[in-house]
Formats: sequence, structure tokens, C-alpha cells
Amino acid sequence: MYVKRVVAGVGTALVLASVSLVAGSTGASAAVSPDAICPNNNHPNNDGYTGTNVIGTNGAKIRTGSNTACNAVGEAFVGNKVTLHCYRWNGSHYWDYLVDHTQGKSGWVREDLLNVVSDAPCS
Amino acid sequence: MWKTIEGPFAPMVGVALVIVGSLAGCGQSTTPAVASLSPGQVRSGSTAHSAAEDLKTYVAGMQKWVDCMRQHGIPKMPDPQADGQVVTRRGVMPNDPQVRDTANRACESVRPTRPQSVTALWNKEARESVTPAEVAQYKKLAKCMQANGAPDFPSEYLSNKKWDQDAPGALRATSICDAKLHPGVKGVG
Repeated sequence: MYVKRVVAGVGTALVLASVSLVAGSTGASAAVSPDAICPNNNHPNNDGYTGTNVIGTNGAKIRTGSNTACNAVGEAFVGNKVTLHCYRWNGSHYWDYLVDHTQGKSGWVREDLLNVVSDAPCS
Repeated sequence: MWKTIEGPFAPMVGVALVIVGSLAGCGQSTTPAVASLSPGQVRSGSTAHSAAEDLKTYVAGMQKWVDCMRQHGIPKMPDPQADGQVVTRRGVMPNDPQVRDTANRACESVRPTRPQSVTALWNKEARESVTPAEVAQYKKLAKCMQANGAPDFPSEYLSNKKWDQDAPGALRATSICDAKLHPGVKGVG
């Protein structure tokens, strides 16, 4: 079971927190995986590959975090010039952080939508 | 010093100058740019080494890293290109996180840090590969974005200029412009 909680303050972030259903739990949130945080700003440019052969599927959503619950800031298209930064595993899929120069957008794209993927972990 | 450029290619040269000028400051910026790096990832080139020597050393180091990855569960890892880039197609990197993690842990100490001169080379390659069609496509997008809720969308292609891609106006403009420039395409993922 997930609880959405908006965190106020500088740089608001949408956090997906898992709620423990174990008997005796007060319902307090468990530790949040970094892959459940929107936006996920941990994406050092450990790769740097730039090419027009990266995007494999037209309309690949570019998101603020490595999770489909994070906002999509745009879509990438086949042939766009892209720089790959790094990848991370979110528990079910690999996501790559990239800069789509053709769209002027940057963010996370799920790897199954890419033809060329990053070979460098984000951390 | 400015020189008047005349002839049929003047507009393209002008555009190229704008692009080169806008990229002049890139390298250490954290905003989207061609092959920009965070400072911690880059090893400053030693004055005792030429860029050619740095590249040769880097390529040799990346080959050792590739060989290591192949020995640790990623047999199809391709050789590095002449510029040191490794192009990993989907299907080469395993989807099993245990396999990737094992390979990374075994080989991270072997992977060389990229010298600034190599990053500069990759930046140069990306700039030189820009086509007039790319620039024209971007300008069309920029005009649409600026007119539909994202006035801060950068006008120059490959600009370092910061803009708020997550603002409500930006998201609205993106929805309008993507539909206009890529009709019929549905977002996936």
C-alpha cells in the first residue's frame, strides 16, 4: 500500500512511501527508496555517450524520476540527439537519465524504450 | 574580431556561430548541454600529456574495462570506439540487476576516469555533427514552446540556458507542441 505525501519546503518533491501493514505498526512510513522519489536528482554524467541512435520508441516519456508515477516532462522521439548520463534499477525496470537535446528536455526514460542504453550506474 | 560572412551559406554559418558561441561555456555546467559533466567525474588533463596521449590512454583503459565486464557476465560488451565511447545497445546490458551489479563491482576500479580533453573531443564531435535540419527542427519547437506557455524555453539549439521544464506552463506547451510536431504519436513508458 502506498501513501502519497507532499513534502513542503524548498524544492517540493512527490514521495511515494510504503506503509507497513505488519501487526503492531503505527502506519508510519518505511524508508523510501531513492527510485520512488520524484524528482530524482541523482544522475551524474558518468556515461556521456551522445548519439541520435538512443531512442528506440517514438513518444518515450521523459520523467522527473525513475518511476512511472513521476511527472512526464515530455516525450522523446527516434532520431533525437541524446546524451546518456547513467542508469539505475527501480525494483522492476532499469531507467536511464538522459538529456534530449532535440526536445530541450532531460529526465529519466525506461530502458526498454531505448536502442542504446547507458553502461554506467548512477551510483 | 568579427568578419562579415557573405554568400548562400551565411545563415548556416551564422547559426553555427551561435551554436558554438552558446557552447563555449559548457564543460562544467550542470544544466543540459552537449556531453556536460559534473566536476567530480572529470580528471583535469595533465599539462605533461597531450590530448592525443590522454585519448590513447583512455581508450586502452576502456578496453580493459570492457574486457573485465565481458569476463563478469556481460559477454557482448562492445569494444570502445576510436574516441573512447562504448556504444551499448539494448540487449547487451543484462536486465538482471544481480548480473549488472556483480560486473560493476568487479570492474569499477578498472574503469578509467574520463580526461577533460576526451570530454572536449566528444563535445566537438557532437557540435560538428549538427545538421541544418536539426537546427530548423529545434527552432520550430522553440517557437511553439515559447508561444504556448514556456517563454523561457531556450531559443538556441544545444544551449546551456536554464529553463523550468516542470512548470505548469512548460507542461502545457509540451503537450501542445508534441501533438503539433508529432501528430498521432502516443506517449509510452
